[in-house]
Amino acid sequence: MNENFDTNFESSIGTNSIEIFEPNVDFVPLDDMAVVELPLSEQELSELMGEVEALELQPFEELEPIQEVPIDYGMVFDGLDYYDFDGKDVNQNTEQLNSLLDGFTEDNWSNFELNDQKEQIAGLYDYVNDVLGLENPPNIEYYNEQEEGNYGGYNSATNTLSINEYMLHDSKEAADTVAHELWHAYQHERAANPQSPKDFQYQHGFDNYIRPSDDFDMYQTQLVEAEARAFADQIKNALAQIRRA
Amino acid sequence: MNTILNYLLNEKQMTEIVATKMEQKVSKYEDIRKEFEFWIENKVFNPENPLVVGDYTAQDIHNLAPFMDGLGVFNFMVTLRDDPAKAKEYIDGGFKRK
Repeated sequence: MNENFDTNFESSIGTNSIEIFEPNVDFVPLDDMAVVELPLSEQELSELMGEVEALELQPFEELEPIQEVPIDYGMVFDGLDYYDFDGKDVNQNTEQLNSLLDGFTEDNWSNFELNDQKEQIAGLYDYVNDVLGLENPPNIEYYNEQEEGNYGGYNSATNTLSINEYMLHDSKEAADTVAHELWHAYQHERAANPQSPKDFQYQHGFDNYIRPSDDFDMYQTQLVEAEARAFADQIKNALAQIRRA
Repeated sequence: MNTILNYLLNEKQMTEIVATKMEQKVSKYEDIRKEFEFWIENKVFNPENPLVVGDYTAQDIHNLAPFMDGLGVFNFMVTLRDDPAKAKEYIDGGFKRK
């Protein structure tokens, strides 16, 4: 319809003859002109009115009210009193978990070469990944940074779980780091497609992440870190029980 | 805009939410705030009569935790003053980062 309109208009006024008919109107190149909707005829208007009347409009009162769920963004920096881990049960297969953690007991761990320790880590990684049901499990990579306290990290941009070989002398921290970083991977998956108030809290937490170099106490307290520590504590506790047994 | 907030927003590129939280904490005590402002200006810890909180100067904290920059050190001084037991736990635990 737009093409026909342009053609008719041009043929009716002729080239460069616009001043003759409308001396007070500036010439507008055809390419820059907006499309003008012509008024409806009475018949068209009548037909449209008939269609509107035929519509069965639902009364406003019958619409489902939108449920507003409050999101407490204050908790993003204070952590929660209790963590349910969205029902992800790290003890879903206690026998398998204990068998895996047996490799992390001090006696066994100290007899392993570095590659054997990495195999133990891979086994625990597979188990925890199964518990979490990650859609896109991260890759594991190792680095060697001779810096005390630097155990590892999770990079959401590359979906990589990094572990510092230098800190692998401590088996319980090695096991803890795997669970801790995988929980971060889970949090990031939730934050990327938020469905619950906690998912939005994760999102807010990652957008406003507090680094340990800026404030160690607030780094520890923020939700995403406090929850990851609480999740990994379950692994540490299970390992401690094996040691006692 | 004050010196600290300007540093956090423009040099550290923090979000407004984080910068505001950091500024509130590190400015809580005037003596700590002044030493932090000195650090922002000079990028060294005050060498003359440095402030001591719970037996630690800013330089001592930095030696314990080299990964912390000025902001981390002075925020940790606030933690030392407000909750010395918790701060001691962090020191004894080796400042675990994961």
